[in-house]
Amino acid sequence: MIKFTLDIDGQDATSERNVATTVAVLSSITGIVGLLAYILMRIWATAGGRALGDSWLEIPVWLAASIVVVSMIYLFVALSVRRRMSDVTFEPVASALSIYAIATLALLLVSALLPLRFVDGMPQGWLSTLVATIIAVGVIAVTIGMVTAVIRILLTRPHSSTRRLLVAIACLLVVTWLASAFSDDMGNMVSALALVAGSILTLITIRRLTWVVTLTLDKKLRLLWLAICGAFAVIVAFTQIGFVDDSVAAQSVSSFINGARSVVIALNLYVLIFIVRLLGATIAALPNSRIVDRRSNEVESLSYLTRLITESATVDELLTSVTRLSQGVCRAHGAWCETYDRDGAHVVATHLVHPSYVMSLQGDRQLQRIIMECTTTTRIDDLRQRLPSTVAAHIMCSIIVVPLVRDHQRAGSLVLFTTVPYGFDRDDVRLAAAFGDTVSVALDQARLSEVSRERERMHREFEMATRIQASLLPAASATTAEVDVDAVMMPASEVGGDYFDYITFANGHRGVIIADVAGKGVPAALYMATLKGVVLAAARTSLGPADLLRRVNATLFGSMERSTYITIACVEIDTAGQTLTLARAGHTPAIVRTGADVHTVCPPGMAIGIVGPDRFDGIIVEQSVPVGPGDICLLTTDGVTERRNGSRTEISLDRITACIAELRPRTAADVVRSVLHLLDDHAQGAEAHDDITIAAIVMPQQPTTEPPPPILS
Amino acid sequence: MSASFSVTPRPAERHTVVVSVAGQLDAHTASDLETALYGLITDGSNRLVIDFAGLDYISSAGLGVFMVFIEQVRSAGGDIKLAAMQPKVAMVFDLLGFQVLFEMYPTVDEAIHAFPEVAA
Repeated sequence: MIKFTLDIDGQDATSERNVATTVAVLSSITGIVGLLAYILMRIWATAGGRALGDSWLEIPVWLAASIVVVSMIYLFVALSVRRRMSDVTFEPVASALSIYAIATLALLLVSALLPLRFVDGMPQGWLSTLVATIIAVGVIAVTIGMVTAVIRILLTRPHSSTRRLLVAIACLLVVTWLASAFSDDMGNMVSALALVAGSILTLITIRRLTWVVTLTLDKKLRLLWLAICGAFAVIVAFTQIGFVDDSVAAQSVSSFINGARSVVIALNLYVLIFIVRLLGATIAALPNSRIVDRRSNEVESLSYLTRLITESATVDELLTSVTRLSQGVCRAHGAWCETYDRDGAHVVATHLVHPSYVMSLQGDRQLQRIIMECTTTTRIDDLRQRLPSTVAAHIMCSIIVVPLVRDHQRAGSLVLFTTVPYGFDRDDVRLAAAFGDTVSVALDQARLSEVSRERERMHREFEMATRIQASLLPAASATTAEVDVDAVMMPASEVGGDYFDYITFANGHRGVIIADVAGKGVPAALYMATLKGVVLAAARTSLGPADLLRRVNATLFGSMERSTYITIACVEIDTAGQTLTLARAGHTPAIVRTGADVHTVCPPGMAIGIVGPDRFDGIIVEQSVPVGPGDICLLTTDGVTERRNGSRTEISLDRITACIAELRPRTAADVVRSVLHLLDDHAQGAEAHDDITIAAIVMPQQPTTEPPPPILS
Repeated sequence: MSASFSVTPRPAERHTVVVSVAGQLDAHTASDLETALYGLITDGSNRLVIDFAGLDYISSAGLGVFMVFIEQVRSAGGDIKLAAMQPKVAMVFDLLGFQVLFEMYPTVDEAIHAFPEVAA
């Protein structure tokens, strides 16, 4: 029995289990065949009108069958006990008790009702023999089943000596059996002594039934009821088999296997001891049920609260559930939850109290001060004593206030009340405080997830705006044999509304346009898209930069949001006439290098979308600059001139001008690269807050009316 | 953002309200100014002088705020006048051509007195 209960890991355990299974199957088959042979033999003998054992063959068969049956019982107990329970819970104990009680009483009832004939303790006739056999097997099976259940319960939380004691009891049982099998005076005495010794050992084995204490009151009462039924059944069985010698049950068992009656008596006695002990333990554990119920309720409610937090979609939903839950667990007569913000207190949830009543309490300054100013969970046992003047004290006699904290700031309160003074105990306060802590953590989490959702949304918006912006910009440089143009746009961390494009005017002259939509993000990017359409449509029919800007303003004015405007700078490149013509709609001035002279070109103008054509058209003025070969024109957005470094100093226009003055570029791309270098040099890795757009025009070395110069070696 | 920004309105003569702005007016702080101006205009003040003396920086979003209210104020018979700008801020207004839209004065006092006297 002991060997079977040992846990062996890995391969060995598996192989051992296989061996055990094989042994069990083989023994079962042998046992059943043996048992059937034995029963048939008994019936055959009694049907012949003679006692068992008259024939010489019958003795060894009877002995062998007895050994087989006993071995089977042993194997059954061993295998059952081997399947250990992880913990003693109410259910297996209850089912064992009820099955035992019902089966025992049913067997005894059946055996009492059936007219069986016994002569000298042996059944007469084949029918009596068959029925007596069935009753005997039933009684033994039920008893063994209950004993097995008891052993399993005892082994789940064993003491150090439990196993040894059980082995000792098993040995005493064998002694009881063998001694009573001789059925002389000596044997009976030994049997009785072994029975008493076994009972004492049983009593010692069942020293404590600690698991009963942890059951809830409801389960304890049900266990009590089942134990009483079990006790009744075992007492009836015990008296019927033990003390009524001519009872059908006693005679059936006695005649089945010699000495089996004393074993059944012993086992039933042990079961009786267990049940009585269980009854005692259950009754003893009844008074502390309230505490146990409370604890199990607490654990359940806290785990329920954790689930609520993960399942609640909104903070208000969570607070509503928490209010209801805390009212239940603390057995308050009502509860509500209020939150605080700049506008004052708001009642977000009430339970078992009308919201309008709670609202009316908001006017009670003294009560509100108590609620809002407590820093830890506070219990007031008698509100009438504390605030004699307050009307609320007529209804709310004792209260618990739980402060709710969000981001280290007081965010609200959970208030529980009873209508009687001293309605809460220390455990209620402790539990309410635990609720408050858990909810505070949940509020912080909710806030964090809101923040991260917002961040995620902004990130997606940024990506979308960047995509729109990038898709609107010309993919390739517009450099032709006539003119060298290049531009670059670097989006900032927050998308601005920078835009540049290469255009062709009605007269066939090339042009560059650079624009900055006020504002950031998706709205700015969408204005850019509109602007691109308008610019490309208007350019083909425009006579020059000022004309183009006037057309753009005329189209966009009125359709733009009041707070938005667009600044544009536009340059027309006349390579034949060696002239750059510039118009500026509120945009950052252009920087032009003619020969060694670098200056800004800033013709009058105003941003697009602010005033209608009637005023705009008069304000915008073109300015033409004569240029020669190698001269440079640089267009930027304010992201360039306002580029800041770590100490928030903007790059000065002088530095950009100086850079342009020193440049010895070959191409427009070189100019753009040099300015970018300058900006990086200034920023020292500081984050750019606005888009940076740079467009450069470099006039060809020779006017294009002449053929391009030969490449010099 | 470390940029600090403040809006402080105070009543002045000729039924004007002088709104002092200070710090950095950019996309992040523009809404503060918008809220403040909206409140003033809703309360019936339509003679506003913006005191730019303390303003170090203005971005495109900040400029947009003034455009939101100018028409509404003018149709109610009032105006928004800008005063005491630092040269750098003034240059931003100039470049954008906002002098066409807004009257600008070197001092707050001049701006207040540019409003016509109200008949008592």
